[in-house]
Amino acid sequence: MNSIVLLLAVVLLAGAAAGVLYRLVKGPALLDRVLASDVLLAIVAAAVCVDMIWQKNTDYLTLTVMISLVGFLASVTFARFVQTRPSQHPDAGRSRSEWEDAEAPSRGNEPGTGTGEITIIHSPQTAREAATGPSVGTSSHGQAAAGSDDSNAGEGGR
Amino acid sequence: MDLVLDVIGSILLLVGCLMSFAAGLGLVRLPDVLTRMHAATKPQVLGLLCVLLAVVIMNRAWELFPLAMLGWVFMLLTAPVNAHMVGRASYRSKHVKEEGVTKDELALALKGNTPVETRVEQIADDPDVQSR
Repeated sequence: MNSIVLLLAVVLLAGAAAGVLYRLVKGPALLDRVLASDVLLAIVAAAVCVDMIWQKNTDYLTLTVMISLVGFLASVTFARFVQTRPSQHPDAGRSRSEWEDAEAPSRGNEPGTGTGEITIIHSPQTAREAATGPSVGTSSHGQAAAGSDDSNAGEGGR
Repeated sequence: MDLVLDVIGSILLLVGCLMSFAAGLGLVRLPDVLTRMHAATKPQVLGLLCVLLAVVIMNRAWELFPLAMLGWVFMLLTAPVNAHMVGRASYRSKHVKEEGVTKDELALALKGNTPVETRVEQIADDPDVQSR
């Protein structure tokens, strides 16, 4: 009875591995392959357990513990890679901190509005010159700013 | 007693291998990344538990039962992380089929239109925030 059960288990695992390998080869997206490789690792862990029953030893139990401990790292790494891949990501062109902050609904970042207006923050001196007018600005900065046109007056003085 | 333990171990082993087979079948048949994720977690959690218990019972290695449970707890801790990251990446890279989703609250949340009943009112109740 024992050998029949083990044979049935091996057949089931082989069928599972065949299906997983089919998805691993054919899978349309990279995430399908990542998922299939993760399931394949779980099937390998089960196969190691079947082998331990077959050989009547428990030498490889630590191996299954290690598989379950570090097996998720590859999937997480690939998931991060798919998210940050710039060519296929829907937020292509935005910086990384922008689309990570877009998760928070209070920020109000809509997807796809990465290239907005550029807001120039004026220094206090420039703001005061803009309030008093360009004629005062050119007189205070003297000859160096007087030669240039009015729009660049504040920039030439600094 | 020996026969009873063998029968229990064999049933556990076959259940664990059936979980793996169901995962392989689901990966072939199901149409979507999210639905395939649903199939993929079966051998990781319940299948691994059954197979590890089968090893302990069939080899009568009762002293290795804590080690087997340690391995299962590790898988129980890391499988949600895995599923979270893969599902997040699949949604963000538009791998989710629209016709399979009946309600998509994350799309509303990403646009900033969070529904009122799911909004967190914690900040308004916090006295430190109000005093500022």
